[in-house]
Amino acid sequence: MSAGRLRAARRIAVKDLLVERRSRVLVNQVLPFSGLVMVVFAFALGTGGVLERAAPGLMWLAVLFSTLITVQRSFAIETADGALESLRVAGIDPVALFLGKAAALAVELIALITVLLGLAVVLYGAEPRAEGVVLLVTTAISATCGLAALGTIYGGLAAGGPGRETLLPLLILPVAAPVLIGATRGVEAALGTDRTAVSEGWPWVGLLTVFAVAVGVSGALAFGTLIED
Amino acid sequence: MTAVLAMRDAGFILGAYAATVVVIGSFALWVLRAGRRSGRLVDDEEKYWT
Amino acid sequence: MTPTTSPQPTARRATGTRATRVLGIVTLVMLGWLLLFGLVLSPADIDQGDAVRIMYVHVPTVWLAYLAFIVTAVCSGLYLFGRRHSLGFDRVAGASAEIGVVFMALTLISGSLWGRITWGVYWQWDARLTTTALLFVTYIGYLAVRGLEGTRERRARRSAVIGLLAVVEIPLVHWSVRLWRSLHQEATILDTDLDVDIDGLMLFTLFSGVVAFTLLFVWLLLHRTRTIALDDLLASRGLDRAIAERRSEVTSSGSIGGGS
Repeated sequence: MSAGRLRAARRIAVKDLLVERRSRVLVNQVLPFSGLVMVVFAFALGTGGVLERAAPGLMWLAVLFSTLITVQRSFAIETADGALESLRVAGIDPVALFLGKAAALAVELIALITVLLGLAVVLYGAEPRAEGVVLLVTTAISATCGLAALGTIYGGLAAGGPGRETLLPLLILPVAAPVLIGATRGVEAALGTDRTAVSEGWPWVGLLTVFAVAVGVSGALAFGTLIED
Repeated sequence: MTAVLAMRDAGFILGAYAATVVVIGSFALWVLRAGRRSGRLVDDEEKYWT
Repeated sequence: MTPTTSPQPTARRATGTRATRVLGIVTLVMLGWLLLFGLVLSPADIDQGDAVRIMYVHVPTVWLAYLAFIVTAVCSGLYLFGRRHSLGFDRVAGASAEIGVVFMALTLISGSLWGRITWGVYWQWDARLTTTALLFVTYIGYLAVRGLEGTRERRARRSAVIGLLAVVEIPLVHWSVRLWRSLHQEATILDTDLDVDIDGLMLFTLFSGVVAFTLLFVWLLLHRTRTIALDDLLASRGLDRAIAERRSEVTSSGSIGGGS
């Protein structure tokens, strides 16, 4: 990986985050949405023991749904004024573009996950424990990287034209299964849901890492073709 | 034939077969009909299989 | 490309040839043969009873569905990395994925009916079943991508990339689902149930099923690929005609720079 490519990727990531800071769509819309999802889960499942046991899974479901919106948002800012087009015409390397957008998405998702984790503690009574903190953070980071890479691959495709918004969930959800499964089990082990030990969570971090790397590499290779039009 | 209908769970088993036959049959018919419709509009020299 | 106004329109045949007709007849005979053996002549299983008959359609469809997806992946690779970027590979990939989705849907239907008889429920959260369902949805997504607009080459390249991405992602999905189930599975119902002690006639029936559905797959693939080729031809011809009309419009009005 050349230094120039990394520099370009960083610039794109910074640009995305700057746009986000100015527009505040994440704070004003996505965050309230995901909080709402957490509340609605309680309506569906009822209070009592169920919510506490299901807390990690519900939290990641909320993350997954929010990822879909965030990805859509991330590419909407590109296609609105033909910005993606101009970036490509300007000769920005697609690999750098992919890495930059994925990195910005990852930063946004990490912020989102932190808030949702807090909400899970407050609403579902999922108390974190001291010995699971390292696992919790590692799980969150590796899952986020996978989700960000996955979202960026298909987000670029779904942003390519009108009427493609509905395509995004169809493409992302089936292949996001490893993230949902791995991240849920990882957080369960970190929190000790169902008396699981912390050590049980580490294989899942392995799964999440392999997923993030595989999807990241193949996404970087595929991205150029997918955003071509 | 009566033996077939007298099977235990005949409804489920025959249902599975019926679903298979109906789905594949209608898919095959759809493909054939689409081919016939488009085939009428294209000269035979342009079809690589003729 | 010749425009539609060719002086002597020739026979205008559909997608069939003598070879596909023979193949189609053999396929029909084999399917009838399978019905006869599967429903009437083969014995009921000692453990599963008559439910085992569903296996004679269930197992071939799932094998052929997997084969279809492999064909899609291979043809995607051949299109993308082949020197000529032949659109023929793209058509085969698309046709194969469509047939795979149809077969996979049948697998899920017949499988759940079998499960209802044998387990008492339509669905079990078993690793194999879950992966199959996810695979099904993944290829529906692939077909949706194929349907997106764009020039023929762009669509082909895009679809090939999505088809190859699936090859990377599916093993990961399968791996994660297996890990998930292996930790939570209470009893291994499935493993014992599928290893039935197959007798000769049952094995023969299953074999006939595989042969019949393989022939069916080839027949469908040939026809569907040709239909896609015809549609491509018509689409490009429509485009040619639109360009020609536009051009004649411009020349007749006499202003070349007048268009938008």
